[in-house]
Amino acid sequence: MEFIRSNLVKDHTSATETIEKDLPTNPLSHLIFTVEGEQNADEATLAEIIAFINKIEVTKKGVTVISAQSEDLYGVNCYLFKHRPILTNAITTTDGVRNLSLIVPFGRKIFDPTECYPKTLKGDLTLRADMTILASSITDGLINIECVELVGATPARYLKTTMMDVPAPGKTGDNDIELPIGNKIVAIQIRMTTFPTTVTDLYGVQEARILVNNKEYGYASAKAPCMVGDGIFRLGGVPSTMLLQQLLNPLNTVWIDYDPRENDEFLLNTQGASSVKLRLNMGVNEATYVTLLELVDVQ
Amino acid sequence: MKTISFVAECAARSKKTLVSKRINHAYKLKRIVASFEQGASQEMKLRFYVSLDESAPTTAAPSDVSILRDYGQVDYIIGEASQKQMEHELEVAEKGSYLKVFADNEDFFAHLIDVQMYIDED
Repeated sequence: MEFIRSNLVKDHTSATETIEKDLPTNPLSHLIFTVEGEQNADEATLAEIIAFINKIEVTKKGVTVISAQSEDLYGVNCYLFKHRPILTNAITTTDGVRNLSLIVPFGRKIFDPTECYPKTLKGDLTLRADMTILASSITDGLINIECVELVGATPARYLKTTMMDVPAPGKTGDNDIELPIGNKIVAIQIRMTTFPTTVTDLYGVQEARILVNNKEYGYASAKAPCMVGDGIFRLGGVPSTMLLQQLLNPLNTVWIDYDPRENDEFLLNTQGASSVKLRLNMGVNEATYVTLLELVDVQ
Repeated sequence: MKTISFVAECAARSKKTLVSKRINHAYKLKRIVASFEQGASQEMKLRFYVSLDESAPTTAAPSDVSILRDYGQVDYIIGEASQKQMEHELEVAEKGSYLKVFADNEDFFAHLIDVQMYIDED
């Protein structure tokens, strides 16, 4: 099997813009999306740097393949690759260069010829990155995007990553979110606004369960602290990106994992179901970001 | 073929998102028709979305993929006392999604949002 790694965007000066590029026509394993800049006076935090990437989308003829805010893509990287994305140079020196790289995946594993985005016609598959110019905390921004093609691969499926912006339900307690039907769900990532601190012991989402055809399926009940604890199976320990920063990265994120053994055994197949619901018991009346990781069969 | 209709007023200098009911089937979007009232003065931008959620933001556009993004120089339409008919085919394979219209009214007067989307259900 041959692969080609090439530049899609090379040393592009950061600006407030939408970067739009046609992706290569060969089957695609993943993209590597890197922002680089020089920090001002103090250490630029992960939260500050990642905020300059607003959203990354990949579409085929207008149909979504990937649509995620950078914070959610960071969480997806942690889930899939069991490491936090690389953020270089944690120093407080002025002009210290920091790079952050996010992987934009088309399969659960990279370089997998059976699970990647199938070949397309030129112009069919488009990448859009909604960016804000690197400023204040980190300046002189450069953007590099590279892609990895798997020449001759004939995938049976690809990974689809889509974000749902679940509005505040108007009250605390159970909030049912209807999930789309048709694909196999690998995992559901939940990013909350509220996490326990010195002033609150609440989680935005206190408890989660999945109902298929109105019956509990797999996740009959999972409390937020235990779902946070599930992190050990995906990326484990040291949560902080800067000294004394007591944040859990990926920030306020938990996963409902239907591929715990990474062998497809427990995937949630929604095909044929009449209803698939994510029931979130809200500790706080707040909006929640839910990212679906699904496997789509290649026709 | 089914018609999904969106009608509401968008206040002066404001944004509004209108959301369909959940569409529980796979479907093909076939056509969008948008009417602009007299006085809209090209000041109200309309964008269209397919979404998996029912959020209706009022300060920014929905976080979904914009339908007109595909090949357009911009992903919105504007108008004045006119009706715009757009043949725009898009296949939505998942069962359970929403269609949205996002209006960004930059005018100092309120304007009517009047949009119909036509879908072919499987």
